[in-house]
Amino acid sequence: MSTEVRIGMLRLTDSAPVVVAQSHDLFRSLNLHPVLSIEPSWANLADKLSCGLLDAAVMLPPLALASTLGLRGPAAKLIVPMGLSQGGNTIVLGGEVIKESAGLPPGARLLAWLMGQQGRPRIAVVHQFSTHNLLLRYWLSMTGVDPDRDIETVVVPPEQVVRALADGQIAGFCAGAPWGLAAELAGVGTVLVGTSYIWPFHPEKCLAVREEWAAANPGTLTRLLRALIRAQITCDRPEEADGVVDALADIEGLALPRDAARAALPGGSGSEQIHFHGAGAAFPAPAHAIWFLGQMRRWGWLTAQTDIGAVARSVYRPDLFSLAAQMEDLFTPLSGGRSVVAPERLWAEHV
Amino acid sequence: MSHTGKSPTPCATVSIPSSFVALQHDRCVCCGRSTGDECNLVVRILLADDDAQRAEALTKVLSADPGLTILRPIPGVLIAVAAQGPDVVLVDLARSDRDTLDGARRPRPIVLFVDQEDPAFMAEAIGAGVLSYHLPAVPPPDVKPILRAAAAMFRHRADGRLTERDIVDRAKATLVRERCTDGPGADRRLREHPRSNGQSSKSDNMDAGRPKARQTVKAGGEGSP
Repeated sequence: MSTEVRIGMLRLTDSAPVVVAQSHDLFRSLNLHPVLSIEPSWANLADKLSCGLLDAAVMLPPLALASTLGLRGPAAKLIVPMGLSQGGNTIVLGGEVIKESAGLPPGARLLAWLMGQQGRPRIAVVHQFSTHNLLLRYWLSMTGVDPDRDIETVVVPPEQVVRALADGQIAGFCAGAPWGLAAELAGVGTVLVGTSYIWPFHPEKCLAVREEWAAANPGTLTRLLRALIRAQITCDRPEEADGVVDALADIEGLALPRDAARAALPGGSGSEQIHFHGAGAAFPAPAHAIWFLGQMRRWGWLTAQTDIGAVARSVYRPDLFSLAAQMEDLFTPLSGGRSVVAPERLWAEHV
Repeated sequence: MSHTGKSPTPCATVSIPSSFVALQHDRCVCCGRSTGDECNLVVRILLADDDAQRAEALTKVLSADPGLTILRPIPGVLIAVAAQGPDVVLVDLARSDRDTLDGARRPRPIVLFVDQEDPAFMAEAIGAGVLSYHLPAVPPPDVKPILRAAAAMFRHRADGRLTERDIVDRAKATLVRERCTDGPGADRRLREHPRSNGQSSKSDNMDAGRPKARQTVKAGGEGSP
């Protein structure tokens, strides 16, 4: 008898590993019976994980950490047994100024755009505790912009950013694929940079499960990770991309626009492609958690007493990943592959 | 944040959260007891629900309690929170703009209601499709009856087996039972969970604005119809 696993996700291209594991029968080959739940908000995923209505979810790493620390209300102990993707977000700005500055370096274009704004421009991110927000704030600071004083950050759901930009409710956004390119194709904004410009091979989505569930279902968790590893390898192959796009478009409730989804997959034409497995994308490196937590502390969201290293090591669980990876005959990286190079290495020469 | 009428003197030794707007009414918001002019506290609730019929029915349920004021919903949760300054926001979980509230620190910090002592209730509310956020100064025990009534409303409507009137009546009964905790039950709750009185909410520090009392002691007469 196969084991039921309830997995939550949002309408995003980087939900692909879960979607492909379903469409390509990878769950079934490992005796898992997945029940996929496409949720309208990150908060729903976090809450349903916390109270056991979901077993696993495609999650934002900072939100998994914030949930565990009780920063959004409930303190729910989540763990991250694997990474699901790297990169894939874009920073999109509206208006004519950004079009006219094409050819200049991204930082100069950003500053020119800011100068042309009336007051503090409102820039949307997808969640307070999102990779998007932390990477955007990091880059703004490196460019000499104070993210708390010079802009106003608001939270807008990814599938609504294009309309919000068209309606003038926001001046720009940082959101995941396919919504950046969708905005450009709709003629309402210009893609300034992909977030891989800020941090090459940056960790993006992760798998999060409740610690209690993982402890009670170790065998199921390992099979879940194995199925997702197989799906990630498929998602990373450009020759498989058409099949991945079909799966993302066909699953009920997901229905992602084909062209914009294809552009963000390996071999695609967008400014930013998602990596799913290679370059250490699958490895849940505690060093990544330390970077996210360090940024959260930098912006005053954590107390000084929070032991960042201890939190990172208790939430990120490379031991669980390695077990599954060995059963798939994979070599496991000792650290986080290429993405473990923190963005500070890259930006040190700019300041 | 403003008080109208004469200075309120709530029941027992409870102090008044600064977030509460006081109005004239005849029941105590803390315990539901009839107190004449003694107890003048009102919780202001914003309904973030696009289902107009359901929102109307829930308004009927909640506004029957003189301790609760329902704010007129306007599009966009965060805009409504900024413009109307509710104490409690009930949010339909089908809304994708729920994330605008999650971890929000501006215009003022709000927190998700969670009863860690009663995970079954949380699962029930989420299963029904509704949760609530509140200002840190609002004690969680005051939020729970409101959320429970909303969850009853959401669940029965989704179920579709009851008439609209029955649904409203049952949700009302849930609210009354939860809020009118006469007798020892109410006293115990108040003693164990003294209200925080407008605790510091430094808008830039999330931790400073978090509620101190998180657990809720079960008040008398729990359970759903």
